[in-house]
Amino acid sequence: MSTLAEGRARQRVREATPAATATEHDSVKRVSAIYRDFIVDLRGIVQGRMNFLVDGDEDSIGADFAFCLEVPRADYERAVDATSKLEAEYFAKYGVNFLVIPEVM
Amino acid sequence: MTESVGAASGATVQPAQTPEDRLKEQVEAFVAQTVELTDVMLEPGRGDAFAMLAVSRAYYAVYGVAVSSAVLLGIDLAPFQNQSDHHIKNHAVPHTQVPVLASHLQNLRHPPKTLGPGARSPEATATFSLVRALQKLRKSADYMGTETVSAERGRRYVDEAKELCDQLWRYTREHVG
Repeated sequence: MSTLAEGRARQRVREATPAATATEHDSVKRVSAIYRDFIVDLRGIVQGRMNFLVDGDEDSIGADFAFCLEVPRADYERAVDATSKLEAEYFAKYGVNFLVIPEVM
Repeated sequence: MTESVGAASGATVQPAQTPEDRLKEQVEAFVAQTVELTDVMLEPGRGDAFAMLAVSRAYYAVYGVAVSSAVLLGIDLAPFQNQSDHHIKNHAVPHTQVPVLASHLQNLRHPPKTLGPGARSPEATATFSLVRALQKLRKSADYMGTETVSAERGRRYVDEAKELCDQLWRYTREHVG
């Protein structure tokens, strides 16, 4: 993850966290934990090789963490739905904007 | 000058169209065209050939409605623009922020039960999920890669996108006329 993306994610977590617990140190730890949880949850619903999208890629501007995920053709539609639902849950819960773009291998 | 001449001659004087009125007209025309085009693209018998393009078109309708609604409702786009010069200059938002903006608008229609920074209603979260899925399919359609979507799934996405456009636009018109 880049410094820029990490900084943005910390800011969003701070915004979604009660002020009393929103210290810089807490937010760093929380972002790391949220990131780990997201990857575990993602791996639980879709399998595939992941590639980071770099900061500045047209489709990742504004995302805190963005990946492409290579999936079999038969799994593409389900992967779009499942990853979108997971991203919405994490955004609602933590304010972190994950983006996983499924691509057919 | 033209108006005073028209008034003196007894002709009906049309008030000058405001930028807001032009924007409303353009959005409504785009959504209406989207409904017509996607109906043709998803006609029975066409198979899956145009389903991805239909979803892509529906996504752009959602994009237009969300951004235009925000502009008309006086919502500051800056937090959604990620300091991107291109988007600031063009009164636009990056694709990754369209689900955020649409869910923000849905949060206005359906406020969350608990208030606070970042609080989202279930409707807002469902909107985020739908728009994010549309955004991903739009990317695949733009790049014309190997991804495809079935006509059945495409129809579902397009119908949900139309419903979302209708909800957000109705809310906007109720508040800005």
